[in-house]
Amino acid sequence: MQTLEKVNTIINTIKNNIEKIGRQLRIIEVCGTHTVSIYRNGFHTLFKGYIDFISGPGCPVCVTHEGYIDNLIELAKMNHTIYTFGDLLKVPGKSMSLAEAKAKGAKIKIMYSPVDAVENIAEDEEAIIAAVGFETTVPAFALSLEKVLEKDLKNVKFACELKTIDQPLKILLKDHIKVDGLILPGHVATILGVDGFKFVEEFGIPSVISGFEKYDILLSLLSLTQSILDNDFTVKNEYKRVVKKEGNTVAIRYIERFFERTDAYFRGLGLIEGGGLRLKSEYSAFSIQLEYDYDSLSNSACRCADVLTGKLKPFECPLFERVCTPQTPKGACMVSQEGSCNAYFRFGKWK
Amino acid sequence: MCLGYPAKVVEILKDGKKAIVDYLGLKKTINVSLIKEVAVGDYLLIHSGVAIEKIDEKEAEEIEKLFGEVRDANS
Repeated sequence: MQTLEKVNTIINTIKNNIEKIGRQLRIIEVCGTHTVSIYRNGFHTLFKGYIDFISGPGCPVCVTHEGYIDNLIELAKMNHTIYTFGDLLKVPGKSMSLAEAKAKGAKIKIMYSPVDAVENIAEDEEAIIAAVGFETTVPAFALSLEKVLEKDLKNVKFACELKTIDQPLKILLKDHIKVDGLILPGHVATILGVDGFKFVEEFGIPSVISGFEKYDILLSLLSLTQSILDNDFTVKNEYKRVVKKEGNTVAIRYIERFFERTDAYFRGLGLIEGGGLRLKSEYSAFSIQLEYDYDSLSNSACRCADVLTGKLKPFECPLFERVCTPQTPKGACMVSQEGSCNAYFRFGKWK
Repeated sequence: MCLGYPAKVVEILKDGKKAIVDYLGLKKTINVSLIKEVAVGDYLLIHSGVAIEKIDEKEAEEIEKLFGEVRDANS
């Protein structure tokens, strides 16, 4: 029972801290895996009236533009084989998703790891790897390109829709959202380190790098409420068992060797200068350049953009639960298991 | 998509870039190119088939112990 008491003490201290602050806190979790952990463990009800949790644009699937999906489907029609993570399959394109295209015979293969995918690509296959993800995933794509170079493969290209976390976060904090604190993404921080998030301090908003277990979330909320009380804007690290100050320097070197900054479109935030990564020009032979109209999201009733910028809760979207469900998603936030609409649908007790 | 899972190294393969890890009894071959000085018995955080960091065992054990106690107290 000693530990249960310990847990209760932490919960009570968090609530006491908030009472001392004297208002309900708006806390944004940037990473979709945190969203899921918060809702699965019922923290949104446990801290009801104390904390209003907002889900930020840290799920790469949720911020992917439908035009990217359309491009991949077009390429599949041109007899390319598309290798993609399973998360992307149900994201709606203009007319269909990758899953629907696959059902109609398009050559779309699900990869677990891009490094393994490259090992198994047949010589006669014109393969395109759908490179989607934040800094957590970019090193895996770097390693797979290294393997392509080692094996001297001429039939593999990368369709890069990679995102960086710093630029969107800066824009979100500057222009879009007022929050009391941030829960920073633990696995992006595994790569970038605590140092990679030092820029958050300039915004005068307390923040904490968190792990994903329920205990991690509680300790992070404790740290965050303490920082808010103390007006302490130093980035705190509550995921010390994994995240180092300098991050994974080998992984960072891999990213820098193969990739460079580029502008990128984020659903909800628009085109962000330096918000993405593309292959460096010396590797352009391995890159497929995609072009699409950033401003045209076909389903105008879908409010993913407002959900991702904290303007709207998922259940306030007119499509939510009525026509938009995890089985029939209309927007990317309902597709991904880490999307806020999906998390609300599965775990939210909003009624 | 940024999901990671912890797994224990049970064997390091010849070229040193791959290892076999044990995750809840499931054996998997993963890439360890991003990890300096990996050894059998280390715990690694795996993402997309690639180990992205070594897990500090002492810190992990403490968290695991706390979880275990909470589970026992709740059961």
